[in-house]
Order: sequence, then structure tokens, then C-alpha cells
Amino acid sequence: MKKKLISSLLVLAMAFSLLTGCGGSGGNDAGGAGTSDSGSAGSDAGSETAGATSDGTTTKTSYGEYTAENPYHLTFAYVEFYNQDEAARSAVQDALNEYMVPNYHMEVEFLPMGAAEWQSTVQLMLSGGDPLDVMPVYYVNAASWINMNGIFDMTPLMETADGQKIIEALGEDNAYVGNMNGVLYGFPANKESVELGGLCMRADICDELGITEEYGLGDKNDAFSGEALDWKEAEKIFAKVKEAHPEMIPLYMSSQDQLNRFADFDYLVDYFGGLDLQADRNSTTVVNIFETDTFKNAVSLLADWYDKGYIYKDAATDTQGTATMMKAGNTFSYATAIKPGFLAEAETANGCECYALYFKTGGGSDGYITTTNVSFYNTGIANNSEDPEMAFKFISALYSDSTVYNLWQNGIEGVNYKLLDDGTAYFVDGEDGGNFKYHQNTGWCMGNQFNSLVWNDGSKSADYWDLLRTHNDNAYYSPVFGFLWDSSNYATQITALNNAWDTYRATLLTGSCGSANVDSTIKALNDALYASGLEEVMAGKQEQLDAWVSANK
Amino acid sequence: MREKPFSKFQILANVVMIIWTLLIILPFILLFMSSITDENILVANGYSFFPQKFSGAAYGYLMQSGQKILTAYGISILVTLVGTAINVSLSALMAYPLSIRNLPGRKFMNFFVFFTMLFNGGIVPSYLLWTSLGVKDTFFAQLLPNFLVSAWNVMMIRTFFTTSIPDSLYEAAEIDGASQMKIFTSIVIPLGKPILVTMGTFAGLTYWNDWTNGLYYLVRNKNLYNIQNLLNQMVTNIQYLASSSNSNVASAASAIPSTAIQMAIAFVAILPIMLIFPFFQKYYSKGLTLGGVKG
Amino acid sequence: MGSKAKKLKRYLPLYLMFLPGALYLLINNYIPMGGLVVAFKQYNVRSGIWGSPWNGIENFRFLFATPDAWVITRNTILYNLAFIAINLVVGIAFAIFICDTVNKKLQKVYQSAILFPYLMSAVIIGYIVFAFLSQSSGIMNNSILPLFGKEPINWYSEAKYWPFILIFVNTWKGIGYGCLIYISSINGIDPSLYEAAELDGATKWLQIKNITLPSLVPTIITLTLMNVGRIFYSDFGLFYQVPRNAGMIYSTTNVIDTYVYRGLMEQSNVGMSAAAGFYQSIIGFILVLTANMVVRKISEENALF
Repeated sequence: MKKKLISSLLVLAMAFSLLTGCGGSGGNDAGGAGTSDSGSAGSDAGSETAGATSDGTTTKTSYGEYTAENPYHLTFAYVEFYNQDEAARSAVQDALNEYMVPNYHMEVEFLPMGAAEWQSTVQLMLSGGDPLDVMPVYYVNAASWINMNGIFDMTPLMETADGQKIIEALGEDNAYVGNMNGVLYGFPANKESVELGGLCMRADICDELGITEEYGLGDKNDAFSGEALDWKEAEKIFAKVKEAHPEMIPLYMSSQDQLNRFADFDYLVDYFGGLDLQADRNSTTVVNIFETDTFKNAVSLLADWYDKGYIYKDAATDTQGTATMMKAGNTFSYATAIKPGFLAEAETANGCECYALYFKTGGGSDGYITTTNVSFYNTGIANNSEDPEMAFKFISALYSDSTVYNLWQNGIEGVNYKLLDDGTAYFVDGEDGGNFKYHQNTGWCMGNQFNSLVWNDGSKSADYWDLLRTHNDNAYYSPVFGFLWDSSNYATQITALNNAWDTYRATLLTGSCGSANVDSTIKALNDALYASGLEEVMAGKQEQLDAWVSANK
Repeated sequence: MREKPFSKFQILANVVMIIWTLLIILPFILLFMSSITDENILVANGYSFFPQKFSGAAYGYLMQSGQKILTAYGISILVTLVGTAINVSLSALMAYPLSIRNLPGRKFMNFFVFFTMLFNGGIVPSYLLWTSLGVKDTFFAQLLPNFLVSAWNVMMIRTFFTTSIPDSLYEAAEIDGASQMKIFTSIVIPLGKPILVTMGTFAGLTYWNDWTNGLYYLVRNKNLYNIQNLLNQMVTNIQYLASSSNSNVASAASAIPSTAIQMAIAFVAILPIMLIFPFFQKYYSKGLTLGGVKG
Repeated sequence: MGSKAKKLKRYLPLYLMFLPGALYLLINNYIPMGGLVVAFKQYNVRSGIWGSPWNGIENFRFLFATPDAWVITRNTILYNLAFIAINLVVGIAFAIFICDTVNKKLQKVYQSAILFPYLMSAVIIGYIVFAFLSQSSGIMNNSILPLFGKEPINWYSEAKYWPFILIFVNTWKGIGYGCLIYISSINGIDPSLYEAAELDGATKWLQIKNITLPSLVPTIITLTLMNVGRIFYSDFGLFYQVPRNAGMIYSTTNVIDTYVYRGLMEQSNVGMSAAAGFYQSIIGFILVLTANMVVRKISEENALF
């Protein structure tokens, strides 16, 4: 009886789901061969295209023709980190379209998403075949989104005029940095990318204890001079602070990962097998970074500080963030990335005067750049797009047309911002960082901010973009810069490895394990990683890396 | 049970319940005190029942979105009322046949309901289905997916009907020639009041607490966000901004009292329920007794 | 034929009453259930759920690929068993206590109080627990332990305390649900039974044993069976937010749901998430069928189906 009952029920369920099962393939029928089973081959549409061409009145693509009267409707999803006023946003959208429709024959619909939920929202929209053209792609999601065929491969469009504009903006290397196993899934934002940083410290305490004089911090310079201190030097500072202010936390750390402040590694996306750049800057041999001396030294240093009471006691589980802690007044410093313009931003965030001091990340004074330093948030095209060539045209505009980029980022001149005499921009009178109506401030995340107005928060000048550009100049590149590891065939191992690493991550990277336990904790971590399939992942990584090296050398 | 107000048992019962009530109330007080504590004191000294310095900054920040919050409250209240009413009606209607012992096919029907508790297809197929039914970015996005009928509620109501309403009552009613609908409205509903009110409470809380429907199905129309969506959006944004190691992001967190505000937000979400619940309590009083129905 | 028609006429209204709810369950639950096949597929958005290629049990492998597979399974089951037992015993005890409170005002206070934690999100409960257990500023370490002359404890790195903490928090948060249901069942008991017992001079305990508890049995069985069906699932917020994702205490706080979340958080793999859900459901399904069969053997009318 029961068997019959269950089986009839299952049949019923299956039958009904057949009816809806094909819902997922909606959206892009123009793409032709809709059921490419290969999984990772993203580009099955328009592979022999010349891209969008325009004679001024009509824009033609492989998918259709558009005019100012009949523009392409483009959905532009992006991450909105700050709350915007709805009415102001739609006014900006209207203003943008007044420019887009006659010049590009497209009409842009903003689709802002929250910082916390945008990944799951985009994934659902990809699954649902919802209208979606241009979207952000976080490098961590890239492998699985490509694997589920959600991302349009832009490689064939790179030869077009639009593609050339992007290459011009980013440079040949950076333009192709979002290339995973032959699929070009996105373009990085134009920004400073180098791993370079140190301490951000409370100015009043530095003044009081003579730290300001000793390290010449008084001029508040946050551009990199080319010289950085050794972290051992920081210990002296912490000791002074601890002695004079025992109630203070000399160094705030949280459960957020800060290993890249203390050691030079190319993690090759996911930590499980990487390059020990500190030991050898030219090595292309994948090693278990948790077994290196570089890792052990970094952890030992932190554990020693933790034992001496320099590091925040609750660090391993803390999520409050640096700004909250600094504002509270009982925190002296935190480790962070530093770049020109950093101090002004930090002082607003921390609510106190601050000094910045560069420390060596690991090996040398020069910082380093890996693939994922550049390719962090990227701009790509959803496979849902009805006309990927128009979407590509829009991305190209984000990199080359400052009108488009300025409108989207800063809003309308005179309404949302005003131009200052030196050519920089700032909020209109009566608005500021606390009550503005429209100001995206996400230049570091999408598009080409170097081709837009400098936002002058009181410390920046018109040549700010040049400062950011040259900030990268001292850096050395990872020998495998441009390589992106595709982990999709190792999803099983990666889940287990993520759990193993999560178990020990915070306690090691905040030093909370204590000096006495460094060796045993690292050993426990390595045992757990090997039991979770680290060797297979490392072998797979090495194989992809070798293939990449031979193709690119 | 009644006439001996100070039996040992009652003293024990009250002592235990008073202690438990304190265990519940104290954290709520801590929550409220934290929401009106000066942010810097809160971070430096931790949470305290007796903060050294008070501040209304967290509530001030919320007031900035005052209009939005009122709208969201309105949506929450509407969805909760309508959702609960439909949920309880449909559940009671379903539970009644399931409680009739000799109804042919009853086992299958029970299984049909119960099975939905065990398996679910995950968010992607649900999203495809409800999107194809057109609820996306409409008011129905808050109402229809997931919570309109809950198998848990149906099973609990069914069990109550089975045990607390004697079969003899049905038989007597049927002999009197009462229709099933008549039996349902005049016997089952009045006698089932205790469980219907209880399950209605939980259905209401489910609707009140939900933020997933809005998150998944209101991508382009955030004006229909309910209070949980709005508060959840604020909290996640604040947490993201505060905990991000990206200096670009961190600077945005500047003026926001992030810890106190999360407490204030939690308090704002709970407050209406705490206010109306005592008025609602009278419906928890006993259901009609058998004698009352027979008459 | 005639009797059949009569039967139909008698029962048809009942089926019609069942129908609206059943239709909703069909749409909301059964149709999307077809999506479970994704657990056996390599999901491809362009091909949809049904067009995606099969990949056997590949998606399930990650559930067992970890050396912690045993730990997370053990934790999940033991916590759930503890929760079922404690919510049962404490829930009934509290329900009886509340129903026996003569002072109606106090009764209302209790009844509201047990429900309030139900309104708090796991994130906030996590903060409150942290307010007590924080290493540097917690009430436990700063105020309570010194009272007893004890050394501060690093709560978030000592796994041994967490079974008690989590069980307490779960009871604190969730007791209201069962308790209110038991109260409604007690309220549904015919008061004349108690009156008769009191006339016979039965003690309170005897009344509970002979009248209250037996009338609660069907409710207890229904609730327990339903919980058994969910035994491989756990309250994600309780196990993720309350321990603040502290790695050193995973040995007693990691459950299947948190393992899956941590493993898949960044991979966003639809097939593997579906596989995890399928695995949790199918085990629960088998257990509940077995348990229901046992119940049916003992007392047919209390079986779920």
C-alpha cells in the first residue's frame, strides 16, 4: 500500500515538474544552440561577429538593429554600497538615457543590488532567465557561473572597436585578466592594485609618545615613498602604547583575513596550493603555503604579539570592523592597505586624526600584484542578454566614455555634484557624505574611474588618478600574473578544504592560538587539509598552471 | 486545579515560571539598553544593563528613513493579517477532513500533506515557478510564496481535532442532518479555537519575521519591502560596510553607529508585536466547552 | 451503486474542503520538488533543470569527502535528539505550570514571555550571547566568574561548553512553540474530567499522570514524528550566528547545514546544494517512515499516515 502511494506521488511530482522544468532556458533564444552540454563553453552565441557597428542613425549587431526611436533596452546590474535616494536615482537614469538613446541607441535600466545579497540575486536571475545584460562578477563566483553557463564569453568581441577601447583603458595585460580557461568573463575596474600597506594609527597617541617625531609622520603623507619598515619595528610602537596606555588595544585585528599584510603569497584564488613569493619571486611551483616558513613566521609574529597583549583579545570572532573600534577610542591602530588619499578617507571613517605608516608585506619594500589583486570585482555580460553585443558596447562605454561613467557614478552636475575650480568634483552645497541623494562611489569596483572626475573630499587634487596609477609602479608582479585557477572540477575537495581552513583560520591569523601552540595548530591544519584532498587540488592547480605557463611564455 | 490557590505545586510552578520569565525579559532589557547606549562606550566596555552614557543616535539614524519604515510597517501588517487569515482558514479546512477517521483516502491525504515537510526543491525551482506565475515585483510576492499553507500547522490542527472533538459529536450532528460545512462552522471551529489561535499566532509570526520572499521576489520594486526586508537590508549593509577590509568601503561606514543601530533595529522589529500581543491574549482563553456546543 | 453515491455525497464536501490547501501545496511544494533532480545533474542555466547533463552522484560526494563527515552527522543528530527531548519535557512542564496559574495576569505574562524570544533573529541572539561570553567585555568574564573567584574563560575557543550553551539557547528561543501547542491541547481537555478527579480526591500529580499526559499523547507523537523527519536539518542561525563562526569550537558546533554553507558559500553550486538537501530529506524520510510504522504497531490512531 505504502509503496504504491509513494511511487504514485513521485510520479505526480515528476510529471508536474516536467511542465515547468524548461522555464530555466527562457531568455536568450537568440543565442542559438541553447543546450550546449559541455558546461564550460560560454560562447555559443555570435562567435563570428564583428560586434556592434553604427552609422550614426542605426546600430547594427548580429542580433538586431536599433535606432534612437527603437533603442535596445539594457539592464545594468551593479552593487550599491551606499543607500541612494530612489527619486534621485531615477532622475540620473533619465539623464543618462537622454545621452544614451541618441548616441548609443540603447536605453539603460539601473538594477542596483545590495552588497550582501547581490551574488544570490544575480544567480537566481541567471537561473530564471530574467532580463539581465551587464552585471558585476566577483572573481570567486566566476568559476561556478561559467560552469553553469551563466556568463557570456567576450573573447570574440575583443577584436572590435569597442574591445580596443577597453584594451586602451586597461592595458593589454589587465584587459585579459578575467580570462579563465579561455573564457573572458569580465573586465576589472581600473584602480590601484598593489598589496601595499601598514598601520593606521591614532595621531594623538603618536604625538603623545613621540612616535610622530621618530617616524616623521607629522606631514601626513600617505603616498608610498619606496621604503617600508619591518614589522619588528611595529613591536616597539606597540610596546610603548601598551606601557603608557594599558587600557588600550595596541593593534586591532578581526576575523577578517589580514595575512596579505604580513606575508607575500600568490594564493592562486583559494589558498589551497599557492606560490611562496617571499621565498622565490620567480617560482611557478605550487606549494602548500601552510607548510612554508613564510607562513609560520607570520603566524609566530602575530602569536607573539597576542601573548604580549598587543592584539585585541576577541579578534578571532570579531566582526565589528576598524572604523567602529577606532571611533570607540580604545584602539590604537590596525593593519590595512594604504594608498594615496587613504588618510582622508580613514579619518572620516575613524572619527579621529590618523597617521599611516608603511610596513613590508613580507619580503621587500615593494608590494606585489597577483591576478586576483587586479581581477577582484569585474564587469561581465549575462548569458540572459538578448543582445550581448549591445551589452558589450555599454561596457566599452563604461571604460571609454567619461560622460556615461560620470553620470552613473556621480549623478547630474549641478544637482548631485558641482565642479570645483581645479576640475575636481564635490557634493552640491547643502549635501555631504552623510545626507547625499546620489553618489555611487564605486569606481574601485566597476569601470574606468581614471576616466572620470576626481572626487575631492578635501585632500585630493586633479592629478589624483596619476597618483593611484604610479602607486602600482614600484610593485613586482607574480610570475603567473594573468593566470586564473578554474576549480570547478574540484568542487568536492574545495568544500572540505574550506571547512578545514575555516576551523583554524581565525585563530592562526589573529595569533590567538598563542606562541606555544603555533606549531601544533599549523600541524593540525595541515593534517585536516591533507585529509580533505589538498594534494589532488594542488596537483590540478599545478597542471593548469603549467599549461598556462607554456601557452604564455 | 482551581480552588486551592496556594498549593505547593502552584508555588513551585510560579517560582519556575518567574525565573524563566526573568531569563527572557533580562536579555530584552539588555537589548534595549544597548540600543540607547553611546556607541563608543558600547564598543569599549561591552554591553551593559547600566550604560555610562546614553545616546539616541541609533534611533536618530533610523528616523532618517522614517517614511520608508512606516510604509514597510504598513506592508508588514497587511501581509501578516491577510496571510494569517488565509493560512488559518485553509489549514483548518484541510485539517478537518484529515481528522475524520473513516474518510476514504485519508491516509494518502495525510501523507500528501506530511511529505511537503520533508522534501523541498530548493530556491531555484521555486523562483522559476513563482516568477512564471507573475508574482515578481508585486504585492503578492510577499504573500503567496512559501507560507500560505504550512504542513506543520495542518498536522497540529488535525491532531487537535482528532483528540479533542469526540466522534460522537459528529455522529449526533449528522443524524440531525447537519451538512459537513455546518458541522465545521458550528462545532469544529468553536471547539478548535485554542489550537486555531495558537497556530494563527505562529503563522502570523512567520509572516512578520519573513524577509526571504521580499529578497528573492522584489528585485526591481523595493517599495514593497516589508519591515524585515528594510531592517535586514540596513543591517546587512552596515555589517558589510563595517567589517569590510576594503578601505574604499570602510570609509562609508563613517557616521553610522553600527552596533547600537543593530540593537535599535531589532527592537523596532519586535516592538509592534510586543505591544499588540497582550491585547491578543484574551483569545487564548479556553475554547468553548463541550457543554456550550451541545446547547 | 446507491451506497457509493450516498458515500460520495457524504464525503464530497470533505474532499472539497481539503482541495484549496492541497492545490496550494501542489503548486508551492510539489511542483518545485521536481527541481530535486538537479542534485543528480551538472546544472546549466541555459539548458534548464531538465536539460542539464546527468552526473550521477557526483554532487553528493562532498558531503562525505571531509574527515569531519562523522562529526557533523553526530552533532546534527545528537543536538536534534536533545532538542526534541528537552522541548518535550520542559514544554509540557511549562504548559502545565502556566495552565495552573490562578492569577490570570501572571498567566498572561508567562504566556507572552515564552513567545517573545521567537521574535528575535539569530543574529541578535548571537549578539546577546556574545554580551555574556565575550573574552574582553563579557558579563560572564567581567562580573559573574570573579564573584565565584574563577578565572576568565575563553568561551569561543573551548568546545566543551558549547553543547550546554547551544541547548540552553535553543530552549530559551524555541520552548514557546511546543509550549503554546501543549497549552492549547490542555485547554481542549474536557474540564469535567478534572472535576470528577478532584471529587475523588486525586492529587495534582495523579491528575497530571492520569488525565493531562494521556490527552497530550497524540500531540506529543505528532510533534515528535515531525521533528524526526527533520533530524538531519538544523536551525542554521543557531549554529552559525550564535557561536560566531569560531573555528576552534567546530568540533561541537559544526552541523550538516553549517558545513554545507561554509563549503558552498563562495562556490554557489546549485547541484551540490540540492544534493545536500536531498540527502538530509531522504534520511529524515526513512526515519520517519520507520518511526511511523512503530507508532502504528502500538496505536494505530496516533500514526501520522
